[in-house]
Amino acid sequence: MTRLLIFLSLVVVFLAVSCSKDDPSSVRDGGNGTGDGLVEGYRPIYMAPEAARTIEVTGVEPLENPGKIFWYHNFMMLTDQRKGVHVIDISNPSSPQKLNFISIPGVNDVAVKNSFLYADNITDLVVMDISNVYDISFETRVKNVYPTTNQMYPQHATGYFECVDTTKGLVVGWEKTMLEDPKCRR
Amino acid sequence: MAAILIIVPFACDKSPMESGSDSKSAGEGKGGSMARMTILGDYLYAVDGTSLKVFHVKNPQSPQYKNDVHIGRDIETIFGFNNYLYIGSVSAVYIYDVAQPQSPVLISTIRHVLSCDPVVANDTIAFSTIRSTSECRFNQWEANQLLVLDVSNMKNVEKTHAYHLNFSPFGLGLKDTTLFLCKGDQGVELLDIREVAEKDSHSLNPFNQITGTHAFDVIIHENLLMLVGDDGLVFFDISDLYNITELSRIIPD
Repeated sequence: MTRLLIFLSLVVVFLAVSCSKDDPSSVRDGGNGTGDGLVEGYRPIYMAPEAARTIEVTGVEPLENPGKIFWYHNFMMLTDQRKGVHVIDISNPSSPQKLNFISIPGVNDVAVKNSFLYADNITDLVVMDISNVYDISFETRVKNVYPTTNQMYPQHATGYFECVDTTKGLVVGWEKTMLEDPKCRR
Repeated sequence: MAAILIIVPFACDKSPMESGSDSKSAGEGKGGSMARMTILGDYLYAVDGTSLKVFHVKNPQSPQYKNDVHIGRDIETIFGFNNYLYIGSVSAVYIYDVAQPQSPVLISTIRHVLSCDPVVANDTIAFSTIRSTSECRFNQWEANQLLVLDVSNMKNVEKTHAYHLNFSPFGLGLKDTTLFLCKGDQGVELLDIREVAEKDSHSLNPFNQITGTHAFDVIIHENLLMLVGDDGLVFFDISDLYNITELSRIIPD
């Protein structure tokens, strides 16, 4: 049953990103492009598979692109989009202090239970022990939770995108940019 | 960018402060309304674009992957409340019953449509926002909206209001009877939910607002409002809703 559901999910994803008869522009074509010239769209950001699955606790890092938040008593977890999680001491909200940073390539979301932090890392769910926020340690990884089909298109956007070339590595994010005659659209 | 939908349930007969979290116990935290992961009891639920993943986290250091439930296209957010998961997608809100935590059961689907039949909201109401941008291909028939849902009968959830918004809404937060509605570049709007859910109400009349910061999502804990947006993480004292004071902010470097 689970296999059937996964198969159906894949079919739905495939349908979602492939062509439909009434919208020919959503075709991933054989190489001729959409013929739409220079347009705004999304380009995949690649990372080598090993690097994309490397989790590091680096100490305080600059905040670049604030993402999601998760409140955990005296601490706030703040994701830096596609990059990692800032651990912030908010025991005095008038003077919050960044304490540590967990580098998690591709991260979208974070949650905490009983001092264990969960985050998505490309295809996997990773677990970190944050009981000592100064000495955060990697706990475990649940592999292949998120299907690789998620990688094949920008999940939160419609429009043009550069088709994914899986030989270039894993997709850890998408950047908005100008694309010359992109061959993919959704 | 597709439309995003967020939902913040509010139960009149329960402590509204707990609306963002299932449990008050020491081990629990609280996510924002834009989250794609949520913890209910001993289970972690996570959504990707099309499905819901179920993890048993009774032993939090070693989650057990238990189930993968296909939901639909373009899933955006998940919000857990009591025994229910509210899952927002581009085209619908799905409500799952998790009385059997490993096997979520779909009990309601609320499609986004512009027409609505106003119904009196009684025991329990929920709010959601729908955002559409110029890039959204659904734009022709979708618009920026605040929806009010009557969830007193979970098997027959009805949409009571669909307020049109002249801005793009993002996350939502709730403190007692005040709804905090994130407006992106325009900050945050404060609404009295008793007015918003009023049967004959047709327009929103915010009684206060927070400006001067981009607002993507909020988390409220007691008198502390934690806001995240492009301008960083900002903390506000909201003990006096008419005189909200900024405590601090961590800005992007």
